[in-house]
Amino acid sequence: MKAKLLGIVSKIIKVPLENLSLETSRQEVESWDSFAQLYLISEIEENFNIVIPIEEITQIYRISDFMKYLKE
Amino acid sequence: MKVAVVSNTNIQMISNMVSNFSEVYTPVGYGVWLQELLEESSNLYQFSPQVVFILLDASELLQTRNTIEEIQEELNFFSNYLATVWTNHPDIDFYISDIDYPEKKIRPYHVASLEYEAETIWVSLLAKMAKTYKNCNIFKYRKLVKEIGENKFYSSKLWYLGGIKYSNAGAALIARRIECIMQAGTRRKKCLLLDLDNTLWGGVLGECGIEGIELSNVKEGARFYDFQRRLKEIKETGVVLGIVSKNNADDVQEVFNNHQYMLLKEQDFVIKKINWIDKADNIRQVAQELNIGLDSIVFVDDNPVEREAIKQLAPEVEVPDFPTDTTTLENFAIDLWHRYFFVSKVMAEDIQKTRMYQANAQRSEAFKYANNAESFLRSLNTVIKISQARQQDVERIAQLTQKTNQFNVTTKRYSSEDIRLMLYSSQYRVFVAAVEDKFGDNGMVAVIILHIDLHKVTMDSFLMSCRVMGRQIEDQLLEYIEKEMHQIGYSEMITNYFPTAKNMPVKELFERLGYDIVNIDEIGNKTYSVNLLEVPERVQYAQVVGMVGE
Repeated sequence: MKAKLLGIVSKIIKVPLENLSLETSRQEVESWDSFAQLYLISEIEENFNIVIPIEEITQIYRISDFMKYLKE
Repeated sequence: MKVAVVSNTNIQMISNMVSNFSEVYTPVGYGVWLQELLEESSNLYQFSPQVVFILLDASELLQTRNTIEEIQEELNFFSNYLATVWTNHPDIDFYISDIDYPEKKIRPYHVASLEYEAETIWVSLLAKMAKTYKNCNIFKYRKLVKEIGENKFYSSKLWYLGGIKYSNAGAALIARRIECIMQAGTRRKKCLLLDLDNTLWGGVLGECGIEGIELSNVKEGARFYDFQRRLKEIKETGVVLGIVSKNNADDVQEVFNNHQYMLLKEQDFVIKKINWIDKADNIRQVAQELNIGLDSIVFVDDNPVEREAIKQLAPEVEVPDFPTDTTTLENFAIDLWHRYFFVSKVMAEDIQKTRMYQANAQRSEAFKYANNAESFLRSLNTVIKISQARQQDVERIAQLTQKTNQFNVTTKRYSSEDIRLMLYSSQYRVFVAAVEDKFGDNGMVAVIILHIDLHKVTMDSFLMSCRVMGRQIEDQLLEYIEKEMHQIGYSEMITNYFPTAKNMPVKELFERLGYDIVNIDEIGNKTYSVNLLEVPERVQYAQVVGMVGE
């Protein structure tokens, strides 16, 4: 699950996998802009068949922030 | 290829995806789509796209229109403006979407659906335009929505967050279809080879006989009947069908002759390899006889062992997996169409192709019986008709420059627009040649483009379809051009050979024809010159009809 998540993030923000970890944050990655954020959320929702509530989207800052939706 | 995608909603996602395979332009801001299309000096036209996709979102387009009269008026308004767009830019291919108008408004169930009516009105306006304007094509957007369903296609979350209508899956589907349309023709396969038992019918013919095979127009047998029907449609877009099957030829003949539901007829297949020889060998022979590359062939067989053998022994051949659930065969055929054979427009030459390849196969057959190559070539009664390119030839010429790899000395690819400009230019002369022989009419098969200035002639392009290669047609074509240029006063012609992975067959063409090498660079590009006052006579196998003056 973690690997799949990192794979999706890497594809969308166009950063090689080896440079990413769960701790990577938006601040460190220039290409993780607000458009990429939308793209990412929707890709993760569609791939894991989950819903991330719109109210919580601004709180997603690190890759690890996605994990809680995947586990639930 | 340069492509523009315009829309009345945010399509950045789609545009990003399209940029993976093509240079793409999307207007900034989505309220401006119509202005960008109408204004001659807009950024859109400064980008000079070859193809423009217009994706319309009906909910946004029509949201303030509440009656069918208003909707009709609005859609008429758009179609009138768009008609001027098609007229003002004849060299751009436009793909305009039909509309999908999800019914969201809450109203009593029995009230007719305005949305549905709007979709229909737009489709009929589009159909009229597409019929009138050659450069107006319909982008079948609704069909994409139906493919994955409204709920998956759209994303209300992205809409509220970013003004984006589509889910990622929806955007990807649109981008893939755009890619499909853009690359249609360039990567298109030429030949579809089919197995018979458990592929075109159910069961093994040699075991259960003509009465026992599953093939009918109703119930279980219809899954093969429906499959055949779609294959026939693929054939009708200019794909060559062939059979490669381990079977008794007589048994198969009986099915062709006597099975009521054998939808594909004997004459639908250009080539039949029904024998007990290894399928890889058969496929190689097919490639040779049709004079096409193995990489132009798709092979369909239900037997995984046969498929694996081809994958290993002839890895250039495309070997798709065969569905394990044979009730999905019809969709499998549709999938084959999209993956390997999709074209946006079919030209007259494409439709005739089956007949031409059939003639090709017969020619190879005749070649076997002729004592030697020379008498064989004479026996073909070939007629080469050379003429100056005209307006109506433009698309076929562009298509030939795009597709011809083997007999192509410079491999320059041109769009229809490029060719059209050459026809108007005094610096270019474009010649085309059509070839006929006793087996049939091959249509336009060769193009020669000359760049001329005051003192010299340079051959910009010389290419010929592989259908007529190996018949020394090029000798006589070139001789004609040499004489023509000599006649209008030139004494020298310059030609080039630029090597590619595929144009080996013409590597020594000019040497063979007596041209002098004037330069070879480090990557093997060769420049030649020929003195037009003293070119050698060429062997005359064909009759040449020059129609340049006409």
